[in-house]
Amino acid sequence: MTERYRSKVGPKGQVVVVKELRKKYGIREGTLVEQISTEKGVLLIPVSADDLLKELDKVAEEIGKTWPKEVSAVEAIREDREKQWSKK
Amino acid sequence: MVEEVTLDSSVLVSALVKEDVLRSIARRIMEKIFQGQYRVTTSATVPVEVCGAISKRAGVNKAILAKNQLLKWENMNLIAFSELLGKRREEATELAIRLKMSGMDAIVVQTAKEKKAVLITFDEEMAGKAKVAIKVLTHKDF
Repeated sequence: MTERYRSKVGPKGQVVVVKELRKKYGIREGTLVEQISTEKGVLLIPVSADDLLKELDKVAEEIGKTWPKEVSAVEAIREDREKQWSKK
Repeated sequence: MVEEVTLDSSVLVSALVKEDVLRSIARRIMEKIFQGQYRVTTSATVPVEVCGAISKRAGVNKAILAKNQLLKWENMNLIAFSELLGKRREEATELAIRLKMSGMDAIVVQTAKEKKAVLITFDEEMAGKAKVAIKVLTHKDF
């Protein structure tokens, strides 16, 4: 069922999502929403942190396949930063 | 409440390498970013450093994957990158002198200081020096 609510657009384009819809879709301060332009207007879809984490895990798995096991991220960055100064 | 944070390259590389010893912590930090609990601003030099470190050790194609992730997060306003211009350069130089830290460390610390953000780094040497000037969290705090 379609639910309809009205809100005014603020001076910088801000629109308040009404409390009922915030609760229904788990939208709170800081929640990311994707804005999709459709034929009828703008569709707001909350971005799922789980989906972003799954995507990150896939990328990390790929990078991990060729990253040398004996080198930690901290050591790599520290080494690169120190080398900038020691290379002559 | 949303917390302002600055991420060091060590956290991002750790998040991007599955086998890294601190990855589970880096992943938890990224989760907080994706959930909107952390708002991130870091230096524009950080993605350069992250991609360079990955290219050198894991290969060019893997660094391109990392670059695309970083770009996506930037486009989604999950991470903002602060350019090293004029006043920021002067402040970073002052920090490098005063805290006796490497140039890259000082540039990242400058961003956190300017944004009044908490620096998150896994590098204890950097954390030790930076905590004189700003609030710092390391892997031990998560």
